[in-house]
Amino acid sequence: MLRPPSLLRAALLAWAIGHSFFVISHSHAAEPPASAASAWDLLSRLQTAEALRAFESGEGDEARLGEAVALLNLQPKTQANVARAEQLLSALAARAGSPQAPAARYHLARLLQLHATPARPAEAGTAYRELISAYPGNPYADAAVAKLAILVLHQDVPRADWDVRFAELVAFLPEVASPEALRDARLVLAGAALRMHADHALALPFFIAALESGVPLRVNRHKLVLLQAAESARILGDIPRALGFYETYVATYPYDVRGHEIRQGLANLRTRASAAAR
Amino acid sequence: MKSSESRFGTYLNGFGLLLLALCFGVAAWRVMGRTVADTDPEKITIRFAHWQLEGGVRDAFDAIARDYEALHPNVRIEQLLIPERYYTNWITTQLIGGTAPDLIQLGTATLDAARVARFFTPVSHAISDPNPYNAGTDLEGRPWRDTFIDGMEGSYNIDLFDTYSVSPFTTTVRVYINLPLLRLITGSTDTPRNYEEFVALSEKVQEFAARTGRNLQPLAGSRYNSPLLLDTLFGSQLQRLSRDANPLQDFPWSPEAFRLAYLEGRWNLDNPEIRNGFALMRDASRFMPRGFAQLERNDAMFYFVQQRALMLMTGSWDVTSIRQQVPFELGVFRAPIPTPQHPEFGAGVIDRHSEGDLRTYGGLHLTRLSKHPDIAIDFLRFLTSKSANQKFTRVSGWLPVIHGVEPADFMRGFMPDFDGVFNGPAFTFAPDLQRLFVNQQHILFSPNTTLDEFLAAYSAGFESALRADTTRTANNRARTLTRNDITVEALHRRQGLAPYGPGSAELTADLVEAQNDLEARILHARLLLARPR
Repeated sequence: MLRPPSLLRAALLAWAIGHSFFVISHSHAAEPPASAASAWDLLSRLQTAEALRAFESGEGDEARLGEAVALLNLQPKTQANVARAEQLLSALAARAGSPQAPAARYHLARLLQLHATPARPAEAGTAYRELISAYPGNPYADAAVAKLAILVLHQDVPRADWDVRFAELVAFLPEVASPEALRDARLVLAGAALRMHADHALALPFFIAALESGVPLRVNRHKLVLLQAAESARILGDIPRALGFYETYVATYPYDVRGHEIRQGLANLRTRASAAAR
Repeated sequence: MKSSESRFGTYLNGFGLLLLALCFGVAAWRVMGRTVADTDPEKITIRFAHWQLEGGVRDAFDAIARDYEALHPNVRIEQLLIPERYYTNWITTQLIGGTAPDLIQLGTATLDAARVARFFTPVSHAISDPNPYNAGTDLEGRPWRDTFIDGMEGSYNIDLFDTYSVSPFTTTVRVYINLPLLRLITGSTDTPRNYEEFVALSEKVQEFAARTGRNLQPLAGSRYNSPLLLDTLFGSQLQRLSRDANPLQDFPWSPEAFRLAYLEGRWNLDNPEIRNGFALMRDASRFMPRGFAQLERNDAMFYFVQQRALMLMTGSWDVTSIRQQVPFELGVFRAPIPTPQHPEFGAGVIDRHSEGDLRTYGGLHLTRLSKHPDIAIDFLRFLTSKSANQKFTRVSGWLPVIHGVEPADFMRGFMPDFDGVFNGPAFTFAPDLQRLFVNQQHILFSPNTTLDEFLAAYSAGFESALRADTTRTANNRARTLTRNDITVEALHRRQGLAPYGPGSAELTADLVEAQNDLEARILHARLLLARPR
């Protein structure tokens, strides 16, 4: 005969099982069918294992590309997965006629820079350069210009060598087809000039070009770039230009929390400008 | 006798079982009810979880939820109150188990960037459009983002370079003062406007206490309250330095940029600004009880409430409970920093400090699991509309976050003041540097030691702590970057696009440029960390 505690335990168990069935059946009823989600969608939602399975069961170059990049995000990260991804990307990159070849080459460079242990930055740089020269105007080649700039300009080399690297990257800019990629490459160049050498004269033209391109920028980034351009102009003594950027800032973001400080800066600059005019 | 004891025991056991069964029944009813509500095709339920258990906040949320339901009869809004102590564990379990509510309040340290990216979805696509619930007000037509006093910068995730949340919360920090006691000591209720006046008042309090034999301190202090004042004083000394040693000209100067500037050799512990920062902290500490750094938050509160201290520095979040506890009239004033004319501490100061770095905090984040993300966002729009925020402010007694919303009368002194310039950061904004300071602060605040003795002890562990903090930040960001690199590709591909490819401008602008900026920051930090000093 069951004693009361046993009865209670049995009742609890029965309810738990019943409730689980209830929850599972209802929650399944509310979920969209799994077939509606593409593998890329799964990957974008960080459901990496599911995405990988979907890519593995797919055919064609895009599936292989997806498989490779999914392997790079799969946790736990293993050398074997990275090696398998490198193998897939190398094979795809070598298929010159494939529309996925530029993307494969781009992700191969990213793999060498970010995922390989130890990182292989020199090989990544070579991969970016090959992509830029092999596929001028391709979106992935466009993206590679900024990535190459980030990689080679944030290294400790003598200033003369750094200037050579900077010049090489500037020479790539006319090849960039996408206005957004061009803007972003310019912002990387300007940021590197400030970070590495506090060189406002080098940075300012790239800030100006990025701002004047008319390509929209995220709000927070736009605010920072306007400030940086204004401050670089002020430091270089180009007061009218500094005034212009500050005025744009205040007009574009009238409710910004930096508003008071910027208006104060503007007032100081106007005083300087009128003193210089006298 | 024995048999009546045995009967009593049986009744007791029976009562225990009955109570257990009752609790179980209630819990089961609630769980079943929630499951049924979720599957009711006629009703959409939006749940949001938060840790603000203060009575006023809960009531304010409830009032606004009922208003929303009245406007949208097919929607039910349910708030889940989770104690702060268990909050992170609770939300982690819910997120991993797939049972998380639609909206979850997160603080800066609740979850790391990787988990935020994995479980939550950005709301940036919605914030540039006007909030429709502001129709008919002076905010009509203004982008939702620009209706917030911080332009939604507090909702911006600096590691993920995107806006992930919407917050109805903001706070300021003030010095609370006992006005009748102030009048008794000084003959007026004028509060200090700067550090010089704060020192003069504090010395008067000390004279008064000595003269009358009253047990009275100028300022209550504790390990919780004191940094609120001392960090502000330290930061005031860096106003000039944060302009001279900040090549990216990004204001306010972030603690991370401050640390990188050290690695670049732009400042060191011998800089007069840094020495003055510590000297100023030491100077102010003489107005707090001996051993304040060992006292707890409640100790400082008791000092103030029991009128054993004239002043207490704490945040606007404490005003309701302090008002309930004190029998005297309260005043508040801003943290007093030195004027530029101060003979000892004026050199690094440009002007009074702006609270323009004030941010909303603890935003409600939209989970990827939400079955009704559009309705969840609509509720957030309603919650942060001008009229709802006015109600939220009135019922909760908290500060408004929306332009033009009036605070409750007793909160006026807490309204943010944007006049002035930004202070520099403090050392306590990074774990290893904070630990180092806490371990050495007894030397700084002891009357029997010198500033040089403190600096000698502090500098012994300074560089390794700074490097550890900088390395941690760079590594965390590198993990985010590496993961997002793939996510950016996937987000484009699922729409048949390529980054920078035709038709991708808007998506690319939000994602790729942010990745570039993050990557450049990481490489620069690692370069500086690798560089010998």
